[in-house]
Amino acid sequence: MIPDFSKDDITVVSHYIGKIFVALGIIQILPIVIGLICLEIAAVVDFFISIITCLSFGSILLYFSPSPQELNWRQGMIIVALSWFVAMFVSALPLYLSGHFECFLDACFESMSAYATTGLILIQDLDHLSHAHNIWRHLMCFIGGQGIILVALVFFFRGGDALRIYIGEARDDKILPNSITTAKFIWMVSFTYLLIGSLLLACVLMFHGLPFPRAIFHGLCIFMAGWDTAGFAPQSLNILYYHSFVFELVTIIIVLLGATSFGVHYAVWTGKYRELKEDFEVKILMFTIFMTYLVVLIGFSGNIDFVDPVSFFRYTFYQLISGHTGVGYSNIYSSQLSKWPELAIIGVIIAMGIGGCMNSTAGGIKVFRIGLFYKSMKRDIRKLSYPESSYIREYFHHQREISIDDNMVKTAMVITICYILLYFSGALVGTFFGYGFLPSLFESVSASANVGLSIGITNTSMPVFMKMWYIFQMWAGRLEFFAIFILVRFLVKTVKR
Amino acid sequence: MKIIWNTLLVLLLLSAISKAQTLKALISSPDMFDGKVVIVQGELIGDIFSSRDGFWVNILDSGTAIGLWVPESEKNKIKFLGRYGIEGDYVKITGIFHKQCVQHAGDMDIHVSCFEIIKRGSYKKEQLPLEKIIFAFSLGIVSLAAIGILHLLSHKGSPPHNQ
Repeated sequence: MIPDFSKDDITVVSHYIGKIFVALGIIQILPIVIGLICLEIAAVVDFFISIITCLSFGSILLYFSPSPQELNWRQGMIIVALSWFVAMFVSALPLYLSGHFECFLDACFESMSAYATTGLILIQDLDHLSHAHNIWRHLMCFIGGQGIILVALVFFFRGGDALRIYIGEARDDKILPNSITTAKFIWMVSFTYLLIGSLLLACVLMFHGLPFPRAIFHGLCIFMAGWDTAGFAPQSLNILYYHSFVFELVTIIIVLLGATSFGVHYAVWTGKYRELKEDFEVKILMFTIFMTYLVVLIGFSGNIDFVDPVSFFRYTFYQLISGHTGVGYSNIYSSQLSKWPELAIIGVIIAMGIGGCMNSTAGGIKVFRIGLFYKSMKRDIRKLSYPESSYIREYFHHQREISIDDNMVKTAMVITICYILLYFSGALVGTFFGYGFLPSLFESVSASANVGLSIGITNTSMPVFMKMWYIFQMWAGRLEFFAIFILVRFLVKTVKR
Repeated sequence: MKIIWNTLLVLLLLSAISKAQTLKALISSPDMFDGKVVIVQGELIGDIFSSRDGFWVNILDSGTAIGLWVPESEKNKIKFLGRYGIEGDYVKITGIFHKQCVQHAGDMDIHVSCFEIIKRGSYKKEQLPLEKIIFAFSLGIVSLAAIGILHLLSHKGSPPHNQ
């Protein structure tokens, strides 16, 4: 018999949520420092209010639910799902206080979009936002890309507990023997790339005449949101703001690195460069990029409205890569994207839906699962062509040789079906509110697969229910469903009691 | 008679040109304005990006922005670029709008030929509502007191639900 939820579950969950509150409060010290350096006192006050709120709630929860016994799996899952929701609310507070949002729901939308590394925005007058708030928007992307829990994992969790919540955050690669060392490795890789990537972007901007402080500010923001495939930018024009082809090329490299599995990063870091060539997921990623771009090209055939082949490639490939890796950076206006031929739009939708690699910062179904279905199909076809008694095995190389088993395929299939349902649910909601089906599907896939490209639907004037539904899609898409299913069951049982 | 008609036609064309377009109109209907002389007004924002024989600067009008390609000679006219705490120079520009600029690898832009400062930008005094400060201060005191009490209680004995 499945044990029911008990009072202990509530105590344990409250305890860890308390820790998440405290962690979020501590992290907000960074934007306060930026605010003090830039003499943005109003922003400092906003973050002060937010920090105090986080620490107060955290302390209360920690006091009333003291150090619990070891976590079990379902508690881990509930903590993950709730943490993301709690993080959305508390992180929206300084954003809302900045006065750049029409309502608190819009600020929540923005913070969930950042944490889930989506990149859809509802902020008003972004070009006059303070540096402190802007850094906070991008820092949320950086934290969310790695995983909110991953932040707390390094500091607050015990070894056994760590694994249970690590997996809840849609990560199942233990690159190193335990989850805490894996989390530390992921942070080390991310910070190293942060340093190199931000400096590289800053160098490009300095070449275009920006002074060092401005260049490094833009470099940091663009790297944090690019590496974590979030797609936020410090200016309303997004990547269009920079008017630089070279800058766009650097962002493509960064987002491709971000969409690559941390397992592959680990292999390369430890000198196993062959992994880049041999990893099954990397091969599938390259293949799906090629195939979806082919769809875009066919979509444009006979309808090429570009001045030359270079600009055609520059704009079409950038949107495709941006969609496929889930970053959502754009070097065209959404009104231009909406005028693309339908087949080209469908190509981008497919790319967004597939997404990047597992255990990367990208969202979507993930190329790993697509590859798994291909291998599984291949195995089944081979089975049919051999005698019934023969045992057929199919392998793929993902850091090591892995044999496909039915459970692996079944789990992948369940998650894929959930994604497809989520994509179409958003499309139906959009269509219900009077938007065209294809634009609605585009925006829905963009939200669910945590991409952030927009065809023009996402704005402050869209219906409140759509905003709430997109928040749910971003959340569910980022956590890959299971943690949310368990949370819903937990809440239903708690309410029934 | 023909001269009068021609004069009227020129006047009509001039009046059409001299009417400032909104950036939103340009971006939502680029085909209508592609390659034509347009007049736009707005606030210069962000940064200046140098390039060969000119520079880029972005202009913002009612929440919509676009890149301006400006000759190097105009650079000294710009004093303020809008960002937090700064209201950028408000300008009226005349230039050719490109849906896809051949010179700039397909960028949607405006090549500026005439650049006029309508209102000089300025540093804005930071708005810090008194209520917000009082709220932050009170919240800080109450929270610190609450955290202190909880801390003391947790050292004195077990929390309530374990007693």
